[in-house]
Amino acid sequence: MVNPPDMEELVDLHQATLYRFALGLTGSVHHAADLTQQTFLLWATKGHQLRDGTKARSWLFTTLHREFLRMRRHEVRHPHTDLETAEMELPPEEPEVWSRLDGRTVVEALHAVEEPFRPPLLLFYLEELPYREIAEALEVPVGTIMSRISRGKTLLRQHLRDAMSEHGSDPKILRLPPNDALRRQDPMA
Amino acid sequence: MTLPGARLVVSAATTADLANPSQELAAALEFLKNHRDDWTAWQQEQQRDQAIARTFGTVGPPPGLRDQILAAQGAQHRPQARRRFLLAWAAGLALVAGAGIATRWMPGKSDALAALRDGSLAAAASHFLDREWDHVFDHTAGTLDDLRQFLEREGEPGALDPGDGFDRLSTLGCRRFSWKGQVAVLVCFRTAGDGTIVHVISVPRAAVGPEAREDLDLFREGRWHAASWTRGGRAYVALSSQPLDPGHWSRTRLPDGGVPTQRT
Repeated sequence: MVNPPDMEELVDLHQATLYRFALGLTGSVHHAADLTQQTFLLWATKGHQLRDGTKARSWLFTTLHREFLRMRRHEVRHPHTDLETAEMELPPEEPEVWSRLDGRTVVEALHAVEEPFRPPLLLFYLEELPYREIAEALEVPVGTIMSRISRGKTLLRQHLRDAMSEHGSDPKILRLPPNDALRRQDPMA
Repeated sequence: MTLPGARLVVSAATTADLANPSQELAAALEFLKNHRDDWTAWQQEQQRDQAIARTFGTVGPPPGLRDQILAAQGAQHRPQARRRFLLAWAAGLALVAGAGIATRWMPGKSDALAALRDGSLAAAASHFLDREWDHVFDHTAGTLDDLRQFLEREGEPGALDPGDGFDRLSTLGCRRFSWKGQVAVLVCFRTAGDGTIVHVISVPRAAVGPEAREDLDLFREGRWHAASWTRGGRAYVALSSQPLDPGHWSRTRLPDGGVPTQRT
């Protein structure tokens, strides 16, 4: 059994990926920083209960996601979104376009993906966890996670394509949605 | 395995899965290889996913978040640390029956500021923050006023008056040390907006000597961006991992009427 790492080591290892996860969930730099900090604070008070240090990363992602859901519950009621059958739409690709994406565009597009698909999709693109651990971290069955990742990727691609067709094929000229639209999407705004 | 099933498994496979494929994933990959169009399409999807993940990976946390997390964590741990200390102290007394152990834990006995009594306040503060501080506060509070009240109760009135601009910043907490035989007070502020942590150390002006200047003086101290000034009977040094922009500091009127100068 591996002992859990100390706080400073844990922060150095995971703060960037946790922040990206939080940023994708909330779409807000400030909420993302708060959620990241809150997650580490919870680790400081409860992390010692974790006997196996190898589970620290999953614990952090689970906790951040729970905190996000807890905060959001106080703010907004979301309409239920039925899961659609996972599908794999594979229109012709334009690799040179995808390779010119910028960070802001990607974060905005990820944040625009609907709620049930967004958390697993974010963890997929963080490239830290296998899908079984993503399922564990989000406390969702593996089969559901696979469907959500697959469907989420399709939705993300649609969002990116819509943005590109709206503003031309150069992602650098993509613009943020109007502020009020962002606020509507931001469950904690 | 069916074609839709294989598509689903490979589409959900993360980089970590592909580096160490499960039996299910290996079977799905083998299955898909026999369906040329789907295999090509998945390879294209992989390229796109890699581009998105690479771009997503360039998004970093705001400056100062690490310091903020560690500072807040230290503040939260303070009560637990105090309880642990008391237990250890009581156990030590029972076992050793000596009072000497207790004095070892008295505040201010082993801190870096005391050890650097011949150095400048900024150098001592930098050394302390880099090597000695365990992010434990004597008192945690969100406003300067609350910290002032705590210090007054503890017999340190007037220890915190760095400038009106600071009253508008939130605080994390404070901690006291001895420096050149005087009480030094460290306060951690969080700036509005980007949340940068600014550590401010306050000592009696007499302890600083000729280096004390009334005007705001900006300089580098080790890895820190630093500023110093005096106000009333106290000298102050501020350290931050982020540049202390004179414009920003002026907007916060730090210190009142102070004109920043840049030390080269």
